[in-house]
Amino acid sequence: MTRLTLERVSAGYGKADVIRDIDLVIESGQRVALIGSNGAGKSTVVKTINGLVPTRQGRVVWGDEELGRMKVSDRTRAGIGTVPEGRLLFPDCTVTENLVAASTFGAAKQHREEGLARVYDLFPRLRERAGQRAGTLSGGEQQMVAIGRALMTRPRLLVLDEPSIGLAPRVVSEIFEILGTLTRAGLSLLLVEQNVQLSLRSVDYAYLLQQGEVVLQGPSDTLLESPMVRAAYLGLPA
Amino acid sequence: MSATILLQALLSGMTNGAIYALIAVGLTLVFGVMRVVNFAHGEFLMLAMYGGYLAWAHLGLDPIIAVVLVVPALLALGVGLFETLIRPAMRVPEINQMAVTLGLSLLLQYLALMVFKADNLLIVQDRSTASLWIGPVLLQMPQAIAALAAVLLLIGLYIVLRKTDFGLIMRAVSQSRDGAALSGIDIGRTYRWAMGIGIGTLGVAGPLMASVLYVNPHIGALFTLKAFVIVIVGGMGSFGGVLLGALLVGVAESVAGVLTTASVAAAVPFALLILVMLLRPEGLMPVGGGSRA
Repeated sequence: MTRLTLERVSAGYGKADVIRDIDLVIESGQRVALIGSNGAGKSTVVKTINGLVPTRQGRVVWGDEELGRMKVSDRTRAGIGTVPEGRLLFPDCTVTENLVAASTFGAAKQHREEGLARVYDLFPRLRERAGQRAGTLSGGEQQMVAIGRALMTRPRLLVLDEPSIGLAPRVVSEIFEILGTLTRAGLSLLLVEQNVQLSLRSVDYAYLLQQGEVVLQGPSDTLLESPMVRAAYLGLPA
Repeated sequence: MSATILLQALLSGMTNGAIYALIAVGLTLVFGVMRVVNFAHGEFLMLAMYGGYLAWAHLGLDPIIAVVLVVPALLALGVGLFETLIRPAMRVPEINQMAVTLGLSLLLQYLALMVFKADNLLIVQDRSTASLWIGPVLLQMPQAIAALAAVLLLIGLYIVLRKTDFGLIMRAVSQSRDGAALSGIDIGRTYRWAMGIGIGTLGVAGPLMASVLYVNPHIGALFTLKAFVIVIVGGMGSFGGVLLGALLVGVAESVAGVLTTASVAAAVPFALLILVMLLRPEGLMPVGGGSRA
């Protein structure tokens, strides 16, 4: 069982810290949301987990291993799968190539065919588009490729950065339904969303980030009832 | 002017084009995967030509055999270049990277001048004066061999890029570096191999070209320029673009040589470059149909 822990993590770009003293825990199999407005530092938290941004202070611990300066690719191989902001697909490669590119190592390579079959069962629409270039797909389909690609790496924790952004509500609910299926099968989830209501309904526990700091945390139904969250993020009377 | 002469010019142009493609493909691979502009590319060709010449002059090796020795040497030079100069240079702004590779280009030219002197050297064998008749037109044997090797290597490279995991990794990194890293692809290792292969391909071209063209310490600079014209005309980082660009440059040069004078013909590739930049600045076959995500 693998747990992810952030202990007093600070990180940023240039001279300024974007996030400060972040403490966060994702237990094995737990579904956790990180919510907050645009610019609160949510994506920076994601990047300190997957290694795209180095931590300046504090520790990121995965299982019994401190990630420290571990390379991005090694974190993926260690079981942290990311669906990044902006998806970062390989636009000139086909859908299948995008998926295969995420299974060029170890167990992922060994179980490649099985992984492809699983992704195509989860997203039948992608199977129809298997030979199509990823850059020509709709936004929703691209998001499915991005999730599929992360699954091909055989993650134990799936980190999703703004998966609903720019997508039609029908596509969003389709994607969240599939995330539900995945977590019921035991996958841990870190969901980063601006859509606060949607994310709180999909997780067990949540952290609210404001200006780079965790200002509130708790079980998601508690947060849904919190006057602060209701007023500031749900547009409801406190 | 007769049709035969034009046909002859077309054939020579295509032959040269194939050889140019072989030289430019390594440049475009390095640029496409690493976004590094290697101004010293031609100097590695120069070294490979000397490698072929020395193997012939001192060991009596046929240039075709010398390829087997020169390719691993160039591959090792490519990896060495990456580990010593390029890896640190990738953390600095692009303009500084260019200064690094430009400096390396000059350094290699003058080191070659010290070691090999300024003499023009050429591999001369029995087959050097032989020629191959193809219908009414003829091809010099050394040129035909170099072009054939180029075509074979380009086909091989295409298959590797399209059909293997290794090729997919190269393409993935060239299209989204962070996306590739998040897919578990080791970026540093990919860069090392891209540079190794990008320069290693010159190990095929060099020895074979040393029996077509005189080698001297400054021969590389000419090919760096031509390779850049080809890569920019074709579309930076695109494999198909290199083939198209190289054939265009080769044929344009050679046909212009027949129609006008040699000095005008030498300017034709650059005129072609200016024309393409004006009409289609993204190149003829850009990666991703003109947009890049």
